[in-house]
Amino acid sequence: MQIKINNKIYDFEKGETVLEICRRNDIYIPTLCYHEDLLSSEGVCRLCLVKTNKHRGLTASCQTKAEEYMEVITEDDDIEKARRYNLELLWADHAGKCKDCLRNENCELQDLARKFKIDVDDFVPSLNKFEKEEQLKVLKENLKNRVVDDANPSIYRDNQYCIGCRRCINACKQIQTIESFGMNYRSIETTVGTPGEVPLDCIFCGQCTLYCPTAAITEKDNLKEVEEALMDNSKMTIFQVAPSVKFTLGEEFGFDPGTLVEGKIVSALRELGADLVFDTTFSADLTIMEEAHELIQRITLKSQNHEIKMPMFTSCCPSWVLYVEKYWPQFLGNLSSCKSPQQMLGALIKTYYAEKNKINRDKIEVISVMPCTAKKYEAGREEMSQNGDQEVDWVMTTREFARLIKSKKINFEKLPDSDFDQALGIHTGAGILFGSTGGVMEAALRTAYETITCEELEKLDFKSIRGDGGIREAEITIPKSKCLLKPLTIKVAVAHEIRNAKKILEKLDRGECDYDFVEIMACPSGCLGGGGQPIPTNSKIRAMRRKGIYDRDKNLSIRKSHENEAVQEVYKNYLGEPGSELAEKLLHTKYFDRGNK
Amino acid sequence: MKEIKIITKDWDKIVPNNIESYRRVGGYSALHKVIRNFSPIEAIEDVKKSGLVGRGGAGFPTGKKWEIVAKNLSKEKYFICNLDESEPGTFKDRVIAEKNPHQIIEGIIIGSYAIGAKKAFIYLNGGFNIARVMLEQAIQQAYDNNLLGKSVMGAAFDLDLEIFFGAGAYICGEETALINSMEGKRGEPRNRPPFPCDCGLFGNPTVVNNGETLANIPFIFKKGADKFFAIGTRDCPGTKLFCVDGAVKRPGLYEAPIGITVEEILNNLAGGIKDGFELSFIQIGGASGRLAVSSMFGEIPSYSKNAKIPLGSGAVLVIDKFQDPKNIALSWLRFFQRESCGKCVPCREGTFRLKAILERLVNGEFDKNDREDLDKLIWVLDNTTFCALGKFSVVGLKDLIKYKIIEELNPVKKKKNAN
Repeated sequence: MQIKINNKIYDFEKGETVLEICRRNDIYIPTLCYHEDLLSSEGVCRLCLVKTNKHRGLTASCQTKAEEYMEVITEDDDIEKARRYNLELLWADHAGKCKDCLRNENCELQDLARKFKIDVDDFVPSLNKFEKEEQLKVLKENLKNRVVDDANPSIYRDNQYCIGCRRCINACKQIQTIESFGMNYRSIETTVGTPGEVPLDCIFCGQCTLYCPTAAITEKDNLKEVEEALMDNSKMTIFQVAPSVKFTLGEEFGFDPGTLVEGKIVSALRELGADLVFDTTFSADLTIMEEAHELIQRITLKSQNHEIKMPMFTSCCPSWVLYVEKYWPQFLGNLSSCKSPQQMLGALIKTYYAEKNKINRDKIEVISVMPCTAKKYEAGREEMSQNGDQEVDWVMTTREFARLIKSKKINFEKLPDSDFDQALGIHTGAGILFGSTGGVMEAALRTAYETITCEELEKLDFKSIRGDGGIREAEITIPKSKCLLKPLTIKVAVAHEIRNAKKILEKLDRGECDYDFVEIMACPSGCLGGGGQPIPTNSKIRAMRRKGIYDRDKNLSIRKSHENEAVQEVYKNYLGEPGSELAEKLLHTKYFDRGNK
Repeated sequence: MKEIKIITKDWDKIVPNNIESYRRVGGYSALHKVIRNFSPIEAIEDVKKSGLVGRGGAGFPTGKKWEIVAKNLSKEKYFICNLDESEPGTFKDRVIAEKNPHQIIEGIIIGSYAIGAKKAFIYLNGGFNIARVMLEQAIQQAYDNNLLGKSVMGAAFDLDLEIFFGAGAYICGEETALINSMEGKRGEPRNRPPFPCDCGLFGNPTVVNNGETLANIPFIFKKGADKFFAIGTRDCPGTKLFCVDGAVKRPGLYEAPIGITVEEILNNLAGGIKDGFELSFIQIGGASGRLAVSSMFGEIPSYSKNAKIPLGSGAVLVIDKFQDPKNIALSWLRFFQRESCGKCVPCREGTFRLKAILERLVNGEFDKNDREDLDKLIWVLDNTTFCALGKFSVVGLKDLIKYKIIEELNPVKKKKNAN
């Protein structure tokens, strides 16, 4: 089918909106409420207005389905006026707040205001009567119901920046099915909020922070605490960096998504004053050792008719764990008891490393750089500390880390590459895969296969569980070998985004499937699409990040967790073997029913 | 002039909450006729022939609306009577429900029969307490008399009728917002298409008709569509209820055939201007209505596309010269600002900024910047809002400027070359 836009003919498919066609063909239409990842925009920002031969006056292109022979105009005086005046209206209570805003220089409203050269004092005519300090008050005189929600450890909301685009509502509802947000109040006081404005109580995945065009919803900023720890000479600061961060941080400094900037990250952390920089990818390998061991144990017990909960769920994703705890407590026993790589490394630093180097654990501050807002919550869970001392003291998201580097005027692009500190800094391709959906599964299968068969796995790539499908299922047959008397088939499922996880749980609840092992990541495409990752995000960016991760795995010589020398050394010198008593104590955890019933 | 009345004709002859007294004046005989003699398609044909258009304000042909839903093959369909009436100065639907609730109910039953709905609702403004009691009693009587419930009047047609209480939001009178409200969602308009006729309440085809529209239905079947068509004007047949208010001798609710001029409404219906008062202008159709200044008093308010003065809800507000038009403008914007649902940027932010400017106008703080901003805001509200509320909010203000009623708002004279 064909449509004429600005007198040129374009092809389109049934169901496409005018805005989507324009986007696909690089025809500029501004918008603040539409996002390609989200199913529907609400047509509320009124910036995408166009003219067509099928509508009287202006019509919202995001709401207008293309029709055959439709003629569309995207630029004329009226359209320009509509964009400008509506931007002026939004800017009228937003201007002057940029300087101290977390999203300064990465704000969609700010970008548009600059592009359209919006004047600060439109619609606020009495502004010139006020001194500078009082301007802010006048600018937002309309918001009587200002809400600042900092009651949770992960996500910070300040609705003075909210422009009511509703992307967070849609992201939460469509991607995660949690529905934390809705609109509150009416007329000028209309604002996004939780029902009854109770403090946010969700799974803290942070997807809303990725889709917010302004700073109304952001990660909770812990840079102050991190900087204090760095300044404190009595403390030893040990950093850890999650696998996916190595492929995304570069975006903040102009690199393409998926560019590996591992070496620069280590240099930057040293520059910032880190005493040691360890690699969470190391503990990802460690997680695989424990998790594969647990899986084999569960399968064995099951085959001997023991009461054991199957399938086993991965437990690396704190949002997923919290989702099960809050909404599906009947499945608590299915969650692998393994802590996440972040917590495993934190625990080892404060025990193994501290003991080995005779450092008091109180003197150590473990700070992690994570792609995730929920990791902030996870670090604060009571089970994740010993005698009140958290295994991980502070968590920075990728975005916070980038802000820290920028604020210290470190020239990231020019930094040389450095290596992680050795003791807990070696990693394999398997650990790297943790950054993508399906990665934990693949890494676990590589190790489980060789552990079960005592033979070498030749084809390392489990292609059937890779990709971006919401739910991916596979049956992995492990052939007979010297250690395995008859072939074993493991049924696995991989899902990302809670909406897909929910489908799996519902099926399991109805007894409609019999998986052995299920990997769930709450965020789209896994950690590489995490709530703490650089903004913007979309499927194209996530695909580039994923490619970076899988390419890296391919290029590493060691691609199996159990072949990680540092991991082997930790077991030899300290833990004993996977599932040992000490491993249980340090690397495993318990789950609780956290429903609000 | 011979008085022609359809809706108010029997009001003084009946006891509102007594079905027998309604029956004595021919009540429910139209329903009887339709159910016995008309197929749904024939009933719709008659409504189409009568030329009846919606009395809520937009003037959409009622028969056409019914036909769209009747043709839809969906098993579940709904019929909703919109009694949310919250346009300032409008009180016709409330009074119909208070004076003759059965008249509306009869219209609802006929409509439901015609479109094939098994479930009907009255969306009642939650503030209408007397109307509520009257309707509740009338519905009970209708159930008791087999006019509602299983096999109505012995025919193979079941209908349940239920009252849904709104919470008094203006925007919930807009049909898609009304449907959202009934579904338990936020009362804000939906994008159209899809229209409620295709995808309305709970995703099913739905007719939403104004209460006054439905009160006309019994007449059409009792006396015939031709008879109805003969009343009023060619493109807007029938009568209209006028809610006359302001500086007139006899404010109140009047019924008159459409075709009556502004002057006739003022003088013949309402008895002219109150003594000692001088007329300034008349606003027709509620706070969202156009203004009529004295040169336009010969105009006929109607639902016709060519009408210079749209009839709207039928409210007629007569403003005298003691009233400060600035205050009136501010009162409109106070209303629309408060009633904006806050969904879209221009309406949420624009009505607020415009109200602030009018406050400055009333307080004498209006300056040149304000004058420029005022034009911008009127344009942005008129052209870019999600639903019609934004457009409505500036209708009166635009006319105040057009007719140069407020001096400060007169068009800015183009400066001669400043330099």
